[in-house]
Amino acid sequence: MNTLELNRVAIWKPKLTDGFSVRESASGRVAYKDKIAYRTNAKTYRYAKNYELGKGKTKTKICLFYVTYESDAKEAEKFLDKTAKKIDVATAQQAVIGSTDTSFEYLDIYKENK
Amino acid sequence: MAITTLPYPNMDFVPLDVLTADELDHIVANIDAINNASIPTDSIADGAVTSGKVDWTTMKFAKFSTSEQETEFKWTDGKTIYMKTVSLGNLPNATTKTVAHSISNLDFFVKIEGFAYYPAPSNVYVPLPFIGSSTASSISLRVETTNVVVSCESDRSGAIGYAVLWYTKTAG
Repeated sequence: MNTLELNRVAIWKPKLTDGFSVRESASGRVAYKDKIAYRTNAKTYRYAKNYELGKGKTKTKICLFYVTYESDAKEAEKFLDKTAKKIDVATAQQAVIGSTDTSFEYLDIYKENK
Repeated sequence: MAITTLPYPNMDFVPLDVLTADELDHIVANIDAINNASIPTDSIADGAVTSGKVDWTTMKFAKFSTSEQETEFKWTDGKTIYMKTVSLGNLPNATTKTVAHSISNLDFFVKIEGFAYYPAPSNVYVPLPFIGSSTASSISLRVETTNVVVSCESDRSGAIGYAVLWYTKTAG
């Protein structure tokens, strides 16, 4: 089961709508850092956007998302756009195949706090 | 149904999302909108709706009534065919009985059907007109401009009859 790790980018199958989306959550969510659980002490924001990687037969659609304390949505979208360019098609295909409605893969990519 | 017709069309979710009461309400509103929306023909796959899922009583031609019913059928001239069930009451005793069908703006009849029911002694049903083994045992049924006419040469008063009339009209 996937747990919540703040600022870590996750790769998932494409979400319902392609555009950039934001979801706010109240403080008090259970998150993990170095396998230790804690509760978020402020409002968190989930940023997500779909991307198409590859061309022709290798074309793969994915969703990238992450959860953070940072409320700057423009900055978050820029970060996701930049991250999408770093992902190779093979990784994307593997992630999409392994995704279910509730499970995803974390990438070793982190959003640094401002 | 196109997603743009939903009251909240741009909802999307990823794992770990926590939904607020507002968002859950929006999902319910979307479901409600789908339930209440008319579905365009091109949104239904061929063969997706099977007859077992259709409430045929909602079809125009599927309801028998003593009131006039507009059917989905058309006559050869393109006119709409209407249908009406006329209760004949007890059939006559070796005579002729006329019952007003009360059809207004009648053009002409395209089909005449009927049946008679003997509740006693043994729940027997026969079609009308009924062709018996002799003229005396037969029952005739015909329709005139204003009446349904049923005739018999023997006592059929123990039977209750119905006529189902299919017809076109000069005006709706």
